[in-house]
Amino acid sequence: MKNTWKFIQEDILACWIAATVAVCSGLAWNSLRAEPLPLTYMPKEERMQAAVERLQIADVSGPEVPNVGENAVMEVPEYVSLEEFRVMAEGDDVVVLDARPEIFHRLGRVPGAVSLPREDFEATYPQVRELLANGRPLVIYCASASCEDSALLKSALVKLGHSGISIFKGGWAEWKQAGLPEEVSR
Amino acid sequence: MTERTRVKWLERIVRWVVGGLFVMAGVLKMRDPEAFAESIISYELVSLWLVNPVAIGLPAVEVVLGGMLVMRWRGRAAAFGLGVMTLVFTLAISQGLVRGLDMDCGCFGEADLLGKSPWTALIRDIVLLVALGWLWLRDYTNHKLEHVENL
Repeated sequence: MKNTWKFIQEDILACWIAATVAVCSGLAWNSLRAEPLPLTYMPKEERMQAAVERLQIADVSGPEVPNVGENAVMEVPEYVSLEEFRVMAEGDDVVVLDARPEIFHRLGRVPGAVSLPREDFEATYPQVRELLANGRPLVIYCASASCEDSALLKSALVKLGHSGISIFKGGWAEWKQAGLPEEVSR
Repeated sequence: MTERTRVKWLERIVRWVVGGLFVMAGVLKMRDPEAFAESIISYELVSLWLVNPVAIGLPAVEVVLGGMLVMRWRGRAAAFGLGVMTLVFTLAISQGLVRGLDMDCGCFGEADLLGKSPWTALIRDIVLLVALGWLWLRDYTNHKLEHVENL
């Protein structure tokens, strides 16, 4: 029994040292990321709002584009079903936006979908703005019916002056479950 | 192949699989700490000021302890540490299920390749707990035998 306790004490000490080294490495790794996670938690809605405000201040508007501001595109349904989404994705009349993190977009996406990750919105939006503003309606999807990224992305885009935005609520999970084609980055 | 060799090989395989799973889980979460922070929130257990430090630190601990288990460097301590962590995860998932929370396991990052359902996560954690307990006991018995032989 005395030995058992001694072994457990040794294990606790070794784990404590390993965990301390690991946490320090984790903090170092985080600080080296392009966008480090701050030590204080901020809800995603607030993070998105802050990103939109910074984009508005930075004025990334660029050249005048058709579906931003006064030249808004036609009204579209708020949500689309899998069948409606499939037809839209197969045609060229809409821009399909993938709100999931970029890594999952690379691993598998709806063919032709453009990556606009909710979490990297501020960095990615200026790169895709012209494409989003070419007069075509936008359809957004994220991981599954329970994710909030599509709604957050739509709200941010509306605040930046875009219109004609639908959400495919079932997301990637429903698309994949239906056995529909997918595109992968090599 | 003798019974002893068979058990040794089984132990090696369990060590690789379990350690590898923790390394994979840690790496996937380190790639997307924002998503892991949201998963932590969904358990309604951790104070807001602790959410991001846990989202940054915990995956790194999984990688380091998982790596130690695979390489069998302080393997008994690694099995002990991972066992304690898995026990905490199991309790966290159980309380969420009892309270009927809409939890996102977040165990293997946002993709959660091994299933997102909390029930799947609970069963997976129980299996891991048994495996880690067995590994710790094997190492403990071996060390105890060595200790007795050295006396």
